[in-house]
Amino acid sequence: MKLAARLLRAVISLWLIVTFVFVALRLTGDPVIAVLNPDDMTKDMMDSYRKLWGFEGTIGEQYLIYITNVMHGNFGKSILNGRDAFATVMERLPATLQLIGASAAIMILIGIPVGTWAAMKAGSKWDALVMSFSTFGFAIPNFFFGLLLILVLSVTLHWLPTGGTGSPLHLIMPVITIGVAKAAVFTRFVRSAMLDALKLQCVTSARARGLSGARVLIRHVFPNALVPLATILPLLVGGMISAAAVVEAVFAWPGIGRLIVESVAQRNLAIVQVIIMLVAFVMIVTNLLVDLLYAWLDPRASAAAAN
Amino acid sequence: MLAPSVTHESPLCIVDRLTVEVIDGLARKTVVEDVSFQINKGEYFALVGESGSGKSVTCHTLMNLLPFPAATYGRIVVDGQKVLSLTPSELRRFRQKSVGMVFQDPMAALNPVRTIGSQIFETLRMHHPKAGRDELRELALAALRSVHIAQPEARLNAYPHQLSGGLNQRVMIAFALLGNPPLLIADEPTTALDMSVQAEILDLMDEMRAQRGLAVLMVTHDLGIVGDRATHIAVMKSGKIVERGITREVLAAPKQEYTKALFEAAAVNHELKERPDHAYGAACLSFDKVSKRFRTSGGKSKGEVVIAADEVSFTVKQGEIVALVGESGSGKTTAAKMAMGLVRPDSGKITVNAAREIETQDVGVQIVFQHPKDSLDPLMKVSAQLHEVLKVHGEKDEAKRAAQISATLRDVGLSESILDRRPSFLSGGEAQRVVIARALLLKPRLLIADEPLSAVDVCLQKQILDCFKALRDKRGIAILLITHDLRIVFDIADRVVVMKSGHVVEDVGVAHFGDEARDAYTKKLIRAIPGRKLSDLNDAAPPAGPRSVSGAVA
Repeated sequence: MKLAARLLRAVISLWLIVTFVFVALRLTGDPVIAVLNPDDMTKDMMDSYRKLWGFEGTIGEQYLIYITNVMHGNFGKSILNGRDAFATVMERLPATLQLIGASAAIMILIGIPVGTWAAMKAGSKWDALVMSFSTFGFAIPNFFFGLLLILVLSVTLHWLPTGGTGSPLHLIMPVITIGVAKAAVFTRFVRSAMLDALKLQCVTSARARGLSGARVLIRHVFPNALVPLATILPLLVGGMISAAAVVEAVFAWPGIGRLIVESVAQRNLAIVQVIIMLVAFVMIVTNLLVDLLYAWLDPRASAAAAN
Repeated sequence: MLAPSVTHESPLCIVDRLTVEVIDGLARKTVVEDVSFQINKGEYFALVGESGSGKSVTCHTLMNLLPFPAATYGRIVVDGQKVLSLTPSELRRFRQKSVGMVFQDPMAALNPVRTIGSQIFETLRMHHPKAGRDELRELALAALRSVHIAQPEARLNAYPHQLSGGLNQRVMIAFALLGNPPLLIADEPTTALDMSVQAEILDLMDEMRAQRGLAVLMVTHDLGIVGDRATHIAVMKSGKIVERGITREVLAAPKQEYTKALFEAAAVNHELKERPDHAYGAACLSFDKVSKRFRTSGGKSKGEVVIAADEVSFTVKQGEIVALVGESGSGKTTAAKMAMGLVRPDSGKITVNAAREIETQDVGVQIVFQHPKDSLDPLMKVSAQLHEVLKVHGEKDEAKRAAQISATLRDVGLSESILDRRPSFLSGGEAQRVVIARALLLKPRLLIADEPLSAVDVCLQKQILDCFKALRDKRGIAILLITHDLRIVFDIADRVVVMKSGHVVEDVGVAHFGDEARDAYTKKLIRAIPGRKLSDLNDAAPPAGPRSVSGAVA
């Protein structure tokens, strides 16, 4: 598929998401009533508030104004303090990126070696042990695991701060919480991809040529196992973002995850819209990259598209 | 226990009382039992047997390359090394220098995500650790040239999927010979290739053998392939060698019933009889100038037009078996799909039962696919699958359905005991007959069989062919048989239609097909029949190649 067609599709996806979120947020209750108590207000005050924050008129009229603003790069203002919603979100983004980046590193550093090892020992006691830990890792809820860590490492042992930000120490527990949970899932994916790749005839044939075990693994098994792994990448990125929302709340981490939880509770619609749009944008870009990555990893992919 | 050797050199490969047990948890299953043979330098040793006979396991054990956990007993000495007791580094060296291996599916045996060049350099670097870039490149090109690959420079940058099966197998042979080993193991090297390419690959292996004094261990289920090439032969069945000796002697007077059955399956039927015209009824399927083009939808070749059928005309009459022959890509499967009403032709007319033009699928036309196990639902018992067909077509009375099913099973030579089984408990031959029975339940007048025998063992093929013959002779069913195997054609077809690149290049009664094929392509196909020289061999013509009796044990 041509790049232009892909981009067009990405823009359409983004537009659909923006529209859906806009409508859904406005159908789930009058945002003004959630902020102002109608018993204490005159109708005039309510109306002027509506006008101020763009909640005036029918949903269709509001939508037209909103979409025009968005196209001009104006994403609305935070209902809390009147600051630009986009700037507010961007301020909190680095903290989340830090968290997700570090968690992804943990996931890869644990998942690839352990998954590979389990695949090579498939059916053994070690394999069973790894699989049990993996099940434990993704069965335990994030918030519970996080609280458990706080209880042991902060409250009992006083090694780490319970939450907040400011030093590398603050990062440790949130990253372990997300990283270990995602590593548990990723290990399984790596194991099954490696198991399939190990069974390939070309691996036997590489061994028959007398290549060393390490070389067979790195140059023949890995490249083939990466192909299915690439396709689950967007899934993992999406999972990390939603895990961040919970974990940031548990550890009082000042990222966009916590921001969206708070903003939904406050019905701070502009902020919610910006964050969802941002997440959607990240997912769309990830998918685009994976498509390109896939074609690069597997030269057969473009040939298959031709048939 | 081994016969005294007449040569003074010690044999290149000795397999002595080899037993292999597959370990599955606590259970052990013997797949190779007490197998002994030896191969001398320069010999061409064929290990023949049907799938599951243990021949592949034997040759994988020769390189200590079994893909599953197994226990091995006995002694294997290849090129002076005790294979089963080598350390990992000795084993690597042994695989590099002493034995080369060629596999069944060359596309799968080459890494699909890396270029041919990167894989060949990787192997060459092992053999020439000090060689520079340019030197490696020269070595790689020389290796590709030695197996007659044209434009070797371009092939280095190609991925396996961009080359044909035949070219990939040449690349594999080049790979296997990079270390100049004295022994080449070939595990069904032509089974996955088109027929006209098979002979080329076998010829190439002969050439390599003559050039380098290479010994070849050929593993195959097809006696036809080895009859005119191998110096020695061993027949395996259920993990044991049941017969062995010098090829010529074994072929002339097989001692075992099993060997005879293998021969018969591989031999070409030379007693072709033309059946009288009144044996056939009215036209049952006719193609009248049918054309079909496909346009490829993406990638580099986007928009290219593929001609699957170009003014194709032929007729199948009631009670006639017509063989549709051609290589993959010749359009024969598209023709079958059009006859089924699954693909609509661009132009031309297809008539079924001399009546109406095909609009959609017609119950009067049924199809039998290549892989019987894939066309049966693995979770359903045979009886449920057969009942389902009748239920869908409105037969509500269970007793009537059961009666019809048992009658049909009798027609295909199956007992009713298979009704309670699931497909995994059926042999390949049984499964294919169940598929045929399922097709017959709707009382079709035309049966289309798409490569119905290629997934079935040689010994079982005869049962299925007999079943087709009986259907034709007793029930007057017309059969359109799609195949690439001309031996099957000679065995049961009444008429042969040869297709190439969407054209019908030959349409002739089978009696006149062999002797005076008019089309050049048909001639090439007939020349490529592997078993063609079997009869010459039986006339005691000595096989080519070095001769010694040491491989034969009385």
